[in-house]
Amino acid sequence: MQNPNPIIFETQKIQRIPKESDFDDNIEDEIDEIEIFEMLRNIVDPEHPLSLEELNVITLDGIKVFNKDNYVLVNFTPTIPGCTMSTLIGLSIRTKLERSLPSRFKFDVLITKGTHNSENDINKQVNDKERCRAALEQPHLLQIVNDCIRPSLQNQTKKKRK
Amino acid sequence: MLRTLQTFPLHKDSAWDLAWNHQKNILASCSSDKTIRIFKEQMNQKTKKNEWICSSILEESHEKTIRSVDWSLDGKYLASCSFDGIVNVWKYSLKNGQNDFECIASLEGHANEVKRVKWIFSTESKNLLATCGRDKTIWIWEQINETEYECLAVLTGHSGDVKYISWMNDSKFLISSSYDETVKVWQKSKDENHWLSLDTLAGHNSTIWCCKPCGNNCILSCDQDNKIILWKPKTDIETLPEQKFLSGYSLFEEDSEKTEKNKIWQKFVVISNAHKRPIYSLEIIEPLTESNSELIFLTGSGDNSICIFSVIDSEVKIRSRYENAHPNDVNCVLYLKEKEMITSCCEDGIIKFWNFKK
Repeated sequence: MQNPNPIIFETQKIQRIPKESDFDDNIEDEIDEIEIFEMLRNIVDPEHPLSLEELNVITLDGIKVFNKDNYVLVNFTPTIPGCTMSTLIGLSIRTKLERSLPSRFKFDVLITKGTHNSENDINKQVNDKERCRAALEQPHLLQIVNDCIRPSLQNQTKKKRK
Repeated sequence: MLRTLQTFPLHKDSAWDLAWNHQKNILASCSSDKTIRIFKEQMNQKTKKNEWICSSILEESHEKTIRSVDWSLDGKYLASCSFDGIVNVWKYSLKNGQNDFECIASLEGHANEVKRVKWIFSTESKNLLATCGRDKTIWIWEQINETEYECLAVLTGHSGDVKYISWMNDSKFLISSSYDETVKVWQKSKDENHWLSLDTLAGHNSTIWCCKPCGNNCILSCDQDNKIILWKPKTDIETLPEQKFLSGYSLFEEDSEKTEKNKIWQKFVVISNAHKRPIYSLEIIEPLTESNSELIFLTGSGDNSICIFSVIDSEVKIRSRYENAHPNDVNCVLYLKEKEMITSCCEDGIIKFWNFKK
């Protein structure tokens, strides 16, 4: 294990506050940053039983949604600049987005600038749809990715750790 | 101009590639659903009009995504390659008026995902097959007889996945494009079994998804960063001295040591802002010739659009743009010249046929 004692961040109390318009069927509810954040926050690190939110890998301000252009940009920040798990984390984020976002959306998953030694290599690999597709056809990799994503399927935030 | 004729939502997963059989007028498509589908035109008895139908499904031949398909030039064989590392060869025949396909050979050799297959005739009029893949290599196979294939050469030199290969000037040259952001031109040496890297074309800054010859020894390539480059040779490559094969393994050093001055192909036109997402597919409609100075080609992109470009000298025009040609990434566009049609396939598995008037 590379980073046996990662800093655990207190999970932010980010929650969608229902607006009146949410209940109005005549108003289209656009996808926003909080919605994407909620999709991704509970994905777990392949090495730790900790969520990407707890590790500060995924933050609300790293997510940008451009509804008009049908585009979502997710920046994620590896816990350490040499983290070899980053590609796998990127693949998990990507896979989760692929499965959860409406298909009209295009997205890119990028490492937050300057937070990893092999930033370009990882960005290139994670955004190559052919390589990602091939990776997910390898049973052991699919297993790992599914294990990382599984906790994110629970809708509510996990109970906070003491 | 493009007009949708028919739409086939048959593949249950991403459709990656299409191949047109010029001899038999049939189309093959392949997909992550591990099937190949064959389409042919048939008279609709009610409307008395020709219609495309899916006439065969080839399945249970690959264990993973089928990435690419190609017909041999004589129209008799279909090759398919897959992320399972295997290249299959199918024999096509008509039995009682029905298309019949028999898997006659499985070529093993690539270490993992095979991404492209391309047929050509060798100088001895034998079928040659080139394959490339994740293992950074290109393999050249010769068809000895229907069921026997001999690997003539393994081309190494790319430092990343080889994404695309095309033959140029019959089987004289092979061009390849890669995850390593270069296009390479390979030349067959006098000794049949040796292929030398003649030039490495640097100018893209991302994965190059497709590279095709576009006439007059020019090359067209497109990439992940939405860029298209037209490369022109400085010299007449027909008159290049035959390269000699040096014994030992100094092949690629030889090429990379080439100074800028000795480069054969140069960037001639760069098109940067035509698409908003990666360009996955290129298709030449009108190649450059001695008498034709207008290059016309199609692109299929991750921005869901298909574009028709025209290039005269270095002047680029987008003749037409079809936004939302598909609801998702356009993985391949193909021109069916004889039919004045275009066919395209998409990340969501849908295949479309379009009417196309130049």
